[in-house]
Amino acid sequence: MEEILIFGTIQGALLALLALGFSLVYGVGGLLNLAHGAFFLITAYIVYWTIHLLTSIPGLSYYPLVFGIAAVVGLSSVVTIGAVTYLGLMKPLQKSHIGVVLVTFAMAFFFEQFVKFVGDPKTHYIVPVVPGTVTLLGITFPAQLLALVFGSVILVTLVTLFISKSTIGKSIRAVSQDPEAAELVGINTDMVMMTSVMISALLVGFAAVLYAPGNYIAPRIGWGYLLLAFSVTIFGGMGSIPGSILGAYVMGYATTLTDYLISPSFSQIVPLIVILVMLLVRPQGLLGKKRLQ
Amino acid sequence: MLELKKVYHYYGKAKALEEINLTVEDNSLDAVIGPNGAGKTTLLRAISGLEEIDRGRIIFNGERIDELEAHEIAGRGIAHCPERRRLFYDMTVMENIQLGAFTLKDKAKYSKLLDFVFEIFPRLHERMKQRAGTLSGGEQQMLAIARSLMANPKLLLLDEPSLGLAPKVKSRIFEAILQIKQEGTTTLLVEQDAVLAMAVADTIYVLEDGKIEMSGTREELEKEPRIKRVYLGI
Ligand SMILES: Nc1ncnc2c1ncn2[C@@H]1O[C@H](COP(=O)(O)OP(=O)(O)OP(=O)(O)O)[C@@H](O)[C@H]1O
Ligand SMILES: [Mg+2]
Repeated sequence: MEEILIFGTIQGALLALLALGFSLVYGVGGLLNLAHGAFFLITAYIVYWTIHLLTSIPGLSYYPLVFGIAAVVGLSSVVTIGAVTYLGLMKPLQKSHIGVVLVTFAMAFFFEQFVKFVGDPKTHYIVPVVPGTVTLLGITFPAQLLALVFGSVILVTLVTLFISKSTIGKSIRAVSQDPEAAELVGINTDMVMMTSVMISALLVGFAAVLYAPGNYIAPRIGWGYLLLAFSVTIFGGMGSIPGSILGAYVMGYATTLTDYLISPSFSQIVPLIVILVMLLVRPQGLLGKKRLQ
Repeated sequence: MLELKKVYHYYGKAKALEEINLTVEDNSLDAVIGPNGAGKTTLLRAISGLEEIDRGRIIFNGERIDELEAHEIAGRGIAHCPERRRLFYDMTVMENIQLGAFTLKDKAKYSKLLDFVFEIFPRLHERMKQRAGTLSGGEQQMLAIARSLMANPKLLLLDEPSLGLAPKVKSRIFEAILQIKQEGTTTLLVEQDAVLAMAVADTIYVLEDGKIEMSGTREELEKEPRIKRVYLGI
């Protein structure tokens, strides 16, 4: 029981970071970003490469500092990649949903090949920045995961507040409800969509910064994270922010439960089952209003 | 204030606007009338930049605006109150009003405008915290106009503000339109109800099948036998 509570929360925190941005971008622009998982991949690799590079500098041996710099480099790169992706690929194809799907799909493959080409196809390990383990309710787990939970809760809260309270947040909501009406009141919808893609990239980048350390990274990992983001979003409701947060934690506890009751390998197919069942039974998801177009 | 010169617009191969020449003078209230599918909505969408025109020019206060994006045109001072209201239905009345003032930077002006819209539409004041989607049709139309007014527009474009409303609500909306005119806001009104439009407008344009077939003041148009027959039913 305690296991499910703790590991479910950890899984939920990860899923929330992955799904919130994915759902936001769909909600605002109807853009289905299949390169979302590749954003995780590229951040993790940039962090890994930067750490590698920095530790070769003599005198720079304090790992938290090295990791901190690498995280900043990784996050700013992925946010820039997000902006460029929007301007270069999504915006020109915005009117065609399938166009965006295809081009981001191609981009995900591109990033996979890119890390293979620049690096190598092998698996790598990023040393966790938060060392050791913690014991809560009698369960012992890596302290890095506690950082993931805290980081996720803080970020998700900040982004949610930003969207509901700030002017930019209000314009994001306006564009998601009616892009033409938003233009008519003077909102630059392209800027708003680009901002959402950047926020989305930042969130998934943070997922990589917080979750990749202590885990193995390899060129193909992006697809798994995309699948998780996708399934949570379909479960919670495409474009619904509360839906994606609620969906993340429900899925987190549910997959942890199936880990224990059935087997971890069964949990791998839970996202797929969720996608299929939801699309057939309730295509708008738990809290969603928009249907998948 | 606004001038259209030989404007053409096509949807694919279908012609929606053909050689439109139209001028709106400062402080006037002009109307475009015409049957369903004549191109009235297209005309307003072309002015506010929602449709890209295929030929011709649109000049607003001396500046060519037909190549600008819709939000830039809104920033120049044209507020388009679109057909079927297009409110932000999941937001409150107040949030819709605030978004209307998106391009407005002047805080003092904001409260003045707020007072004005609540004065002409007291109903909205009572329902500030209500979600726009749950308002009645008439209230939604009031909110749509209020949202456009909050931008402090130099030119207001109204697309069938009385569509689907009961006669009493309809006349409430038209009273408001006259009040807006008195405040000095130049307005271009699209209206199917020719009697109503001709009662309030300075210049009336008759749009049929994408072309302006006739234009003039009420007195001038009332002399035309065809206008009498088709639009006024006399
Ligand atoms: N997005 C579009 N794609 C293709 N054709 C369109 C589009 N919008 C309008 N049309 C066509 O252009 C013509 C003019 O339409 P428009 O909506 O401007 O007419 P209207 O005068 O506003 O009519 P109504 O009084 O019914 O609102 C119509 O024949 C319509 O079918
Ligand atoms: Mg129309």
